[in-house]
This record gives sequence, structure tokens and C-alpha cells, in this order.
Amino acid sequence: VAALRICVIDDDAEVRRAVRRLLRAAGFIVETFASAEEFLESNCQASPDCLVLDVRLGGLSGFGLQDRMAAAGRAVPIVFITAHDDPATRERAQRAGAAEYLRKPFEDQALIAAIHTAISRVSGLG
Amino acid sequence: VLILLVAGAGGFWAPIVSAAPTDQKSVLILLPGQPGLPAASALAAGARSVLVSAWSTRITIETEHVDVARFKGTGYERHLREVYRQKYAERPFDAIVVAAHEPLGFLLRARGEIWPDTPVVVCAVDERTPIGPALPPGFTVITVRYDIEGTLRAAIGLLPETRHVALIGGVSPHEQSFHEVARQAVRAFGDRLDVIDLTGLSLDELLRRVSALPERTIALASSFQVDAAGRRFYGVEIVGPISAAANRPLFSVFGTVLGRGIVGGSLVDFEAVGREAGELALRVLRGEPMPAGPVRSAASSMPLFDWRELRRWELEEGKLPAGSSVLFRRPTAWEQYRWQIVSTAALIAVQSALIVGLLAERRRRRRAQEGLAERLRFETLVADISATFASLPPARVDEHIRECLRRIVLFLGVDRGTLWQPSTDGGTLLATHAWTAEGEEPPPATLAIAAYPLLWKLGERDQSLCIDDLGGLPPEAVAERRALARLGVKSLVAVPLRIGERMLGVLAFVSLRGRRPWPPELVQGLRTLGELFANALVRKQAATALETSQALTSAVLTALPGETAIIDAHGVIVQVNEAWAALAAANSAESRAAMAVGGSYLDACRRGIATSAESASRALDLVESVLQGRRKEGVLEYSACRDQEDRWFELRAERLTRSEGGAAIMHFDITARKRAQAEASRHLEAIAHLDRVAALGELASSLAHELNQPLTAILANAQAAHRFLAAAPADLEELRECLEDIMSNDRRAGEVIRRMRQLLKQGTTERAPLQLDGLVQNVVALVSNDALLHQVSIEIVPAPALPVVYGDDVQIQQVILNLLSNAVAAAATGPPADRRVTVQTAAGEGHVELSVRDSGKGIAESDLERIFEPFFTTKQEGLGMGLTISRSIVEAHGGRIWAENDPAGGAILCMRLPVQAA
Repeated sequence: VAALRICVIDDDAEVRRAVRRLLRAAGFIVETFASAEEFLESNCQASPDCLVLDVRLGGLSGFGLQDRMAAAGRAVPIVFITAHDDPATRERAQRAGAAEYLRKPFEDQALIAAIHTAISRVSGLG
Repeated sequence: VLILLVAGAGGFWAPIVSAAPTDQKSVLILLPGQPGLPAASALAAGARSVLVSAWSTRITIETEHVDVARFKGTGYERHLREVYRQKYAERPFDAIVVAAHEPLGFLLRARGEIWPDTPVVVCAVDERTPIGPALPPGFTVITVRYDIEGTLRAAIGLLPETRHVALIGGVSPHEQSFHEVARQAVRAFGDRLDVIDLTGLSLDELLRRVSALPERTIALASSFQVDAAGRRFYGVEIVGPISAAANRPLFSVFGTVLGRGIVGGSLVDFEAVGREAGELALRVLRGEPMPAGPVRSAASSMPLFDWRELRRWELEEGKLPAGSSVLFRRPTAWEQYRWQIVSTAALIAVQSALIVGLLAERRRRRRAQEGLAERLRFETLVADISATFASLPPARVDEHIRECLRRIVLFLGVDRGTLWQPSTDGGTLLATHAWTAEGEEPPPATLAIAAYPLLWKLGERDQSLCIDDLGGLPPEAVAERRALARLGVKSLVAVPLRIGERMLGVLAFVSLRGRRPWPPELVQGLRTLGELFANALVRKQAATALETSQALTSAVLTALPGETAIIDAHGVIVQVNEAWAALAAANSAESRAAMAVGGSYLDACRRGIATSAESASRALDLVESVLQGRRKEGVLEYSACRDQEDRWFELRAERLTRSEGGAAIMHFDITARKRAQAEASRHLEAIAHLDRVAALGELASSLAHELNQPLTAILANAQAAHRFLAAAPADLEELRECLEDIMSNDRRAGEVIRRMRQLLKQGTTERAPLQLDGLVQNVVALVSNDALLHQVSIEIVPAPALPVVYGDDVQIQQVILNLLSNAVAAAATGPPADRRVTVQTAAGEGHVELSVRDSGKGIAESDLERIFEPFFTTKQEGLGMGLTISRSIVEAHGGRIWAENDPAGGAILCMRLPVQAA
């Protein structure tokens, strides 16, 4: 089985590095981006199997990026992660349907499970 | 057989001269002494007759009596000046006629202030008496020469043996200078005469001395108004008693005392002097040139004598100077009937026509004589009545006017005397004062003014009405004729009561039994009385008004909360309230004088500047600018030490809206206000901070983000490390990087907590005395809304007497707020009927204690200490920092904070603070 490609988008460099390290240790191929814009400009935007996406970003927000990709007809599995656990955010994250939602800090098992759930939901395998 | 023909006094309907002068003129006559003084009345009447005959209704004549000589040093002159200034503020005069030295002196002092440019005609000053300072431009003088020499020559003519002249007179300064004129006149006779000086005695002493004058002495009455005992007299009245007591004949130079006990002399006719002054005033009004120097009156030196006194001292008429007139002649039986006897005898021989002629001639003479005597008697009555008004207290005016009416009615032999005053609506006349002869009808209480149109119109023109009988009414007086006939009036005299332009009423005397004449002299006398009554009534009104206004002013001043003074335009304090007086009394002797009535407030400010008080200079600027009218009012605040305490004051200066200017100065103690302001602003600051604390929820949310990031990195790194360790072989390099990142993120989290603590801490951590109960009240007020929302009741149980603790009140309030909101939240989980929070304070050994008890579920025993640890929370949204921060604050204050469970249910959070400053 080819390794899954995960793109991590978070504006906190420490969090980015730690999550990349964790997912690599779990066998994923990981690329990291500090902002939604950086991700959109990169050449790998067409290929990721899943996005691990921080809700609150400088510039285009996590939700904004989700909307943008949906508008472009691209159903990409997304795991939202956020340090702001408020009901409004949670509701918004789950409205799109095709996304998982994790509150920071999160357990490694939870993250990996969320990634698989998201992918299977989009590909219809779940 | 003799029919006493009485001269019909018709023609009192003086035709109204609508003649020449183009504009209304106004003249003031200033007279000496009190109203009614015969010399002054005669003089005023003379001047008035000339002015009115030339200008008729187009002239307004005001008369004032300047009685300053007899009331010296009583402040009366200052008041009088003020009264005139206000009374005539709206009414400038075209000319002033001033009679005699006393009002002249007053005018010279006051003219600059009241009537600066009005031309003045001075009359009735003796040419030998110094006037004082040179008269300013605009003054024209008619002098008289009180002919003492002529009087002495006449006396010597009658009594050739005379060697001594007993000089009788009063002690006031202007009288003294007149006596000096008399002494010089006696000296002019050289060795022939010497002076027995009886001036400067008390009246009692004088009466004793004049009763024992040596032989070959005559007495000379000079001016007499004030005796050595300080008693004041009505000059002409004193002559009677002196004459009665004297053992030698009395002479004088004043026309007004003839008939009162002097033999006579070369007398001054005051009415004629008045006419001359009136003529000069006319020239002023017409703008004609005035004589440059003093003009001698032609009315001095009239040789007049009293027949009765000549008889009393057995003096021979034959020795009188040529051209002398003898008045008050009482014919003897022979004299009285001599002409009838002669004519009877001659009837045989002489034609009856001659007899009729002679009789007519005698009757004419006799009528003239009787008329004169009657006139003099009436003048005496008028003078007597006038005198009684001088010192009449306002309260007795009404009663006294009635008494006067009685005397006049009896004297005139009429039936009724009534003083009518218009009602306030002007529709009716009210009989305010009346006296009715016995057996006659009293006057009706009111009369409709409409029923007397002509009468009222005359009064408004300052004219009198004399009707010998109703037939004498002019044909157009239809209404009056009907109204008077209905009242049974047969004969009537009515004079207006006027003060300047103001018509106060009408003084009327009526005969109900038959017609009677009203000679002009009588009417003139009644007019004088009318003037007196009007003055008295106005004075009474003024006194009442003044009393009211003074009482009001004084009450207002007293009621003012601060120290208040009224200052005049020059900054001199003229009135103060009690608070000001008390403040002034508490000052040093030097500033006490400056702060008292009569002191200069501006000087007090300047003295303040000298002692380097910056506020005094601002106060001076403020008060000066208000006094000079540059601003209407102003306020400044200053601090000063009073009663060993620093206090704040407000100085307020407000310009008085009156023509003479001045200002009200008010000091208020505003220390309480200032303190409250400072307190309020400090409170605002504290509340702003408390708001920040109360918004901890919002803060927590951002704190959560700040903390969750490092926590996420730590956890992810740790779990990655775990996976690296599980792999074989373990990638030690990766492991090392994980551990480094864990450590740095842990530090980062610590930093966030430190930053938060700093945020909560206020810059200043002063140790100020605190009242714990007061702080509790504040905080309860803050959470009361929240408590209400959750239906939680908060009860405060304060200690009876709580010692002061030292600390930072804002920080302690943070702690109380934390305990209270936790307690409210805990209580809110219980059933609505039983949600209580009790806040109690207590004093212990060296400490005070606050306990907050809630009706919640209590705290698990194992958590009683953990709840103070960071991030321990039972709340969904809570951060778990509140009690951690509270503990650090309390411990920084040297105190302790802990939690217990109430055996009765619920939790108790306790805070203990040491009483000693930490």
C-alpha cells in the first residue's frame, strides 16, 4: 500500500514540526504549510490524500480553504484541528460533512483515526 | 347793621394756561429743616407761584427738605443722598433752587454724584455768612441781608436807654456762624451796645436767664434749632416760650416769627425771596444769561411789628421807623366804634354817601386785618402740625393723620375732613383717613372716581378745587354737582396729595350745613398739609418696603451655604452673612479688619498675594474683572489650610445688577465634593480593572489558545518519540529533537502563564488601609446581576467592628470576586428555592477573616487542596486559574486561603488576612 500523503497546514511552527514528526513516525508522507495561501500556491495541492488543517490561520482561514476547494469541485478529506474549542467552531467544522474535528492537544491515535475516517468518508469506503 | 362782606373766593378754577413753553421742565426746590417750616414753606410757595404762573402745567416742581444740620453724624445724610439718587434717577432736573446754608452745603457735597451739571439758584443765604468753598460754575446766588442793624436801630428807637443785647440762639455750626454775624452787627454800635451771649445754653437754662435779664436790655432771637443739651427744636416754636419767659422785649430778623412773641424788627419776607429765586430759575429754564456775581434780594428789611407786643412792653407806635407796619392790632372799644360814633355824629351834617364811603373804607381795613390774623393763626396751626410729623414713627402715621384732620376740622369749623386714596385698581377712592364733626354723617367708605371726572383731572394737574357753594361749580361739572348734592355737600375744598408726578390721593374738607369761603391762604396751607401727609404716607410705605426688603436680604444671606459678602464698586465690604463674620473673626487681627464690614476685600486679596498665595492673585483678577463689568460672574477653586486641615474652596464673584455696581462674593467649602470626585475617579480605575478580571472568560479563551499550542506540540512530540523508541533501531537523533522540542514548548507554556499573571496584576501594589466590609459591598454589587439571573440570594453578615488591614484593595477585590462567582456558580446547581451564598467577615486574633459559603454540592475531600492548583476546574468553560491566582494574591498579603466543606452542605472558602501591615 502506497503511503498516504498528508498536508499539514498550521501557522504555529512548533505545532507544524511536532505533527509532521508524529505523522512521519506513523508512516505517512507529510508536507507542511504555514498558511492556506502557501498550500494553494504549492504544486502538491492536487495530490494530497488528506489535509490536517488548523481552523484559525493568518489570511484565508481553514474553513475558507475548505469552501474554496469544494467550490473547485475537489472533495479532499480534511481533519480540522483547533485550540479554540467552542461550540460554534465545532458546528461549523462538521457542517461540511466531509471533515473530522479534533481539539488541541490531541492523542496520536485520535489523529490517525480521524485521518482514516476522513479519507474513507470522501472515497465512499467507510 | 353791619354786613360782613366776605370776599368770594371764586376763580379757583385757575384757567389752564396751555401757553408757550415747548417742552416739560423740571425744577427741584431744596429747603432747610423739616417740612412745614414757615420760612421754608413761604419761600417755596413764592418760588412755586412764579414758576407755575410762567410754565403752568408744563413744569414739574419737586420739593425736598434737607434736615442734615439737626441730624448730624447719624448717617442720615448718606441715606438721604442715596434716596435722592434713586428717587430721581429717571428724572433729571433743569434747575435746582436751594434755600439757605444747610441744603446748600449738602448740595455742594452731593451734586457731583447726583446732579453733576444741573444749574443751581441759591437763595436766602446771608451775604455776610461765608458759604464755604468757592461755588462751582452753574451756581447763581441771591443773598439776603438779615438786617440786624436795622432791627437794633428800631429797638433803640423804641427803647433809647438800651445798652445790652441778649443774643439767643442754638449751637449747630451754621447757627454759630449766624450768631457771629449778629455779634458783629452789635459791635458796629461801638460803646453804645454790648452783647450778653445766651447762645450755647440748654433751653431750660436759657428760659431761666431770659426771665432775669438786667435793665436796659433787649433780647435778639437768632436761629435756634439745637440746644446745648442736644435737644432739637422747631425754630419758630421756641420763640413763644422764650418770649413768655422773658422779662425784656424780644426782637428778630426773621419774618416767620412775627406773631409768635417778638416785638418785630427789620424782617426778611421769605415769600418774596422765593419769588426772586423763582424768577432766576425761570431765566435758567429759558437759557437766558445769569448774573455773574451774587445778587442782593430786595426782600430784606421789611419793618414789621406786632401790636400786641408793643402793648405788652408799653412801647409807643410813634417811635417806630418810618414806613413800619403794625399787625395783629386788636381794636379797643373806642377804636372799634370811633368811626361809627363819628359818623353818627356827622350824620346830621354829612351826606350819607360819605358815611357809607367811610364805613366801606373801615370795613375794608378791618377785613384785611382779620383776614391777616386768621391767616397767621392758620399758618401757626399748619406749622404746629408740621412739627409733629418730624419724628413720627411710620407705624403711627395713620393715627396721626386722623388726629391732624380733627384739629383742622375744628379750626376751620367745617363738618368733615377726609383723606381719599385711590384703590389699587384705580376705580374708586377709599376714605383711608377721616374725621367728622359731632352729629354729622361720616363720609362714605368709597367713592367712584368716575363720578368726579373733573375733580380728579384737576388733581392730576396739581390744582385745587374750591367750591363756596355748588352753584360755583363750572357748568360742565354735571357729574360732580349730582354726586355732591346726593352726599349733602354744600361747600367743598379739595387739594391733591402728590409726590412729584404721582397722585396719592385727595385731601378734602366739606361743609354740610351751608356755603363758606375758602381764602387762597387757607388753600395754600392745606396744600402744605397735603404735601406733609403725602410725604408721611410715602415714608410709611417706604419703611414697610425697606423693612421687607432688608428682612429678605438678610434672610437670603443667612440661608446661603457659604460665607457671603456684598462689596461695593470699590471692593469695600458693605454687608456680610453670619458665616462670613465667623470666618473673619477667626482670622488674624490684620486680615480681620480687611474682612469685616468697611474693610476692603481687594486689599485682603492683595495681602494674600504678599504672602505668596497664588490663588489670591487669581482671586484679585476675578473680583476686579467682575467689579469693572468685564464679566458678569466668575468662579475659581483654591486650596487652603483651615483649622489645621487642607481644604478646598470655591470662590464665586457675581456682579450686582444695580446702577452703583458692586458684587456678591461667596466662599464655599468644596472639600467634600473634591474628595468625592477623587474617590470616584479612583473607583472608576478599580472598576475598569475589575471589569478586566470579570472578563476572565474571554481572556481564558485566548489563554486557552496560547496554552494549547505548546501543549499540542508537547504531546505530539512525546508520542512521536514513543513511536521512534518502538522502532528498531531507535532513531536517537529524532528522539533528541523530540525531547528538545518538548522542553522548549514546555517553557513556552510557562511563559504564557507568567504573562497572564502579569496581565492580572495591577502596576501598583500599594499597602493601603482597607475596610474589608466595604470591599465586600463593592464586589457583591458587581455580582448581584449574575446572582439574580441564577436566582441566588447573597447575604452579607458583617463583623460588628472589623480592624483595618493593609493591602492592595483591587487585588483583594479580585479574590473576593473569584470566591463569590465560584460560590454563585456552585449555588446555582441546587434547586431554585434553595440557592444561597453567605458572605461573612469576622475579627480574629491578629487577623480578619472572610468566608464565602454556598448551598452547592460541596467539594470532594480529595479536591479541597487541588482546587488551588493551576488548571483545576470543574466548569465546562473554566480555565482553572481563578483560585490559583487568588492564592498567590492572598499569600503575597501574608494571608492564607483554604477550602472546607460545610457539614450542613455546600462549600466554604475562607480567606484570612493579618491585621498588621504585611
